[in-house]
Amino acid sequence: MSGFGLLSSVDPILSRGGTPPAGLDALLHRRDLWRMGALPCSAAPGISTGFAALDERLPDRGWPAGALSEVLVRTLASCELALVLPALAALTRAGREVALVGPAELPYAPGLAERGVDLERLLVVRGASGKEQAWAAEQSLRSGACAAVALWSRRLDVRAVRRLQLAAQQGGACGWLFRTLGASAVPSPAPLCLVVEPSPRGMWVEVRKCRGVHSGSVFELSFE
Amino acid sequence: MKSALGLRPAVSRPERGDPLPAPPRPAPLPSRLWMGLHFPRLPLEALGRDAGAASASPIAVASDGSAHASLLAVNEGARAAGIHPRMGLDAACACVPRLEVRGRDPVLETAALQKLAIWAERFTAFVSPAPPAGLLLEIGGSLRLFGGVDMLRQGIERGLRELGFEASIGTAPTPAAAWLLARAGFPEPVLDRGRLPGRLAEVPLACLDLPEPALRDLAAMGVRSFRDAHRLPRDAVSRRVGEALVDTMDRALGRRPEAPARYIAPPEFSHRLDFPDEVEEMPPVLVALRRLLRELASFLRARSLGVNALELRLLPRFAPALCIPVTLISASRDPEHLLELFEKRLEKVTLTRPIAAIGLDVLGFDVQAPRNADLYDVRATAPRDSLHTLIERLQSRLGRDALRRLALVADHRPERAFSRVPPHDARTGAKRSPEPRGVDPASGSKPRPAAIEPARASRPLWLLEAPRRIEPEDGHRERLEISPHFERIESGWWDGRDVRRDYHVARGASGVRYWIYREHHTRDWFIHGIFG
Repeated sequence: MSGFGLLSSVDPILSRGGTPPAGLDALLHRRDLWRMGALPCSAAPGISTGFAALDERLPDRGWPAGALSEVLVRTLASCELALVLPALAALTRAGREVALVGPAELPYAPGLAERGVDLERLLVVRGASGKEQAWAAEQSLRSGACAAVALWSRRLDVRAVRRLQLAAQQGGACGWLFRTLGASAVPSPAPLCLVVEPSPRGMWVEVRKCRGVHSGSVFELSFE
Repeated sequence: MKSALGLRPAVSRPERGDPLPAPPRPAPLPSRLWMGLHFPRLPLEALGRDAGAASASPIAVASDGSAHASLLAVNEGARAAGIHPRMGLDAACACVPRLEVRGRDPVLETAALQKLAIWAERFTAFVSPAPPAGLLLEIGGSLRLFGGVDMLRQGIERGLRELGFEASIGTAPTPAAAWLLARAGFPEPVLDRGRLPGRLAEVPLACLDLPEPALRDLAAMGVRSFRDAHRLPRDAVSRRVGEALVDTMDRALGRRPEAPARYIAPPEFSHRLDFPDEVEEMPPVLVALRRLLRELASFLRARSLGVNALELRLLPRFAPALCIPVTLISASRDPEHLLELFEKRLEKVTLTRPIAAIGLDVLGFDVQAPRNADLYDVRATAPRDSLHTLIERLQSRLGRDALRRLALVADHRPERAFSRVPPHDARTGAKRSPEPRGVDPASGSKPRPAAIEPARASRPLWLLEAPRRIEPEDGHRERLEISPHFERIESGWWDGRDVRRDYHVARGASGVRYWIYREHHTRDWFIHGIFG
């Protein structure tokens, strides 16, 4: 805590127009240093969501790497894939592996390819039981082989979600957990939780839970 | 000669007190000496002992089943009855009506030759098969151990007799000469290159494996032996009968170097571990399996190999073995990784009877050379291996079909425009798209994903496995706001899946956009996809 106080007391000096010493300037740009008043950010850079409006509201300027992000929708297979699609496309096209575990319907290859997803970097796990899917997602997150892992889940208890969060931390991977709104009654260990709903121009996004950010803000992400 | 050279510097140094003695010249390497083994009756012997190379009833092996076939090899009984190889099949059958004729089996012959090559490796490290019926052994380095050429030859002959093979052996400083002497049946070894021309002179040209027309032409010219051929002018003879004759003569006389290919035995790993007492639970089996896998790992490391197919056998005392095969996407030799794969498989196995031993067999070897890391393409480095590991781990529990990649198929019908393919491994990288993978996404040929507006994309993100019919009476249709623009997708008569549909985009009351179509024949509406 004392460290934070020291830095915030430095700020007025800077605002008075004094040129900051070179060493301090370098210090201020360190990712692992948090200044009060700024969005906190973790050591690892986030993965851009592809939506500028969403990026600027998230502490890592994108999906946090090495953490689980929860996305709640009214019905599965609605707009959750569209939300993560820009990140999915960017990751696969950068040659990183992404796994989709237990998608609610069939991810449509022509639709994905049309939006810039490299299908050869996309692993799809289907046809397993819910428990096996959770296990597969956990293994994929932990292995470090996948940059991002998406899991569609209808029933998942707190312990299983905590395991996923730990696996994401260990593997440094970005985890997406897609659940229905009904599941939000269960407390979740995921550090980020968004609620999305389709809107006429794109989708409504509510940041329900986020480190260091006031939750509850609702905004529209436009596809246009 | 050798000892004199070796001694000279040692003697001269103390006498003259030369401050800079000339470095001792390296002792000349023992000149290479080759032994050629020719198995004239291999076609017969390869058929096995029951063919009875020495049995009294006449048996012969023919080149094929036709009446004009010639005999390749005959056994003692047939030889006693006056039949000899190269005789016509019809003539032989006329001489000895009860002659048993068998067809030649090249596969068995190759296998027999391979077996002999492995066997011959006890005499020298360098064995080279000379198909169809010969072996070349480099014995220069083995002479001291086996006590000279004669002792070595006797040892080889004795061993071959025990195996049931008959060989004629020739020994010479060049491989080709050793082979010719063996073919001609001149057992007297030639140790000095200078004596080669004299010894080879008597070799009939028929032993030179020349094409049949060349041999006929030479015989017509009265050229029958090596000596005759050697006297001919080189240019003229190669113009008339081809290069093969001159080439063989040069190689035999050591004028042209020759390096036979060394035989390398295919690796084989089949180990078995017996338990002191029968076990009824899995943990001791895993302990034993770990030991076998460690042995396997050191076996593989010594050969720069990996495995891609393994089989574990659980052996009860009085029951058939329980086989558990494991296949890998890419070759591995990491015992922990292999053990993990087996553990996953063994989780599903319940032991119904006590196990007395376990066996581990390698069904497939693969070269596993250390890979070079790419300096610029970071994607090609570290994570690749762990991806294989991950895929194998997932497949071993969920089954091979649960893990798929999606691929595009050039078909206009939406449900046929993609396929689910098994995940690739690194070696099938060539199958990947021809797009250069090293380009920066920003400068690549495809537009950046963010630049594509999903609203304008023509295909949905989700496809329903089976199109869902929209019942007019359930009121659902009223809540769908259907755009008037449509895309007609039709025909497919060539594979019996003809379609005639008009695809629209529709927005549901919840705001979700659907991809719906109207069937032309029935006028029914279906939801086929979800844009999301």
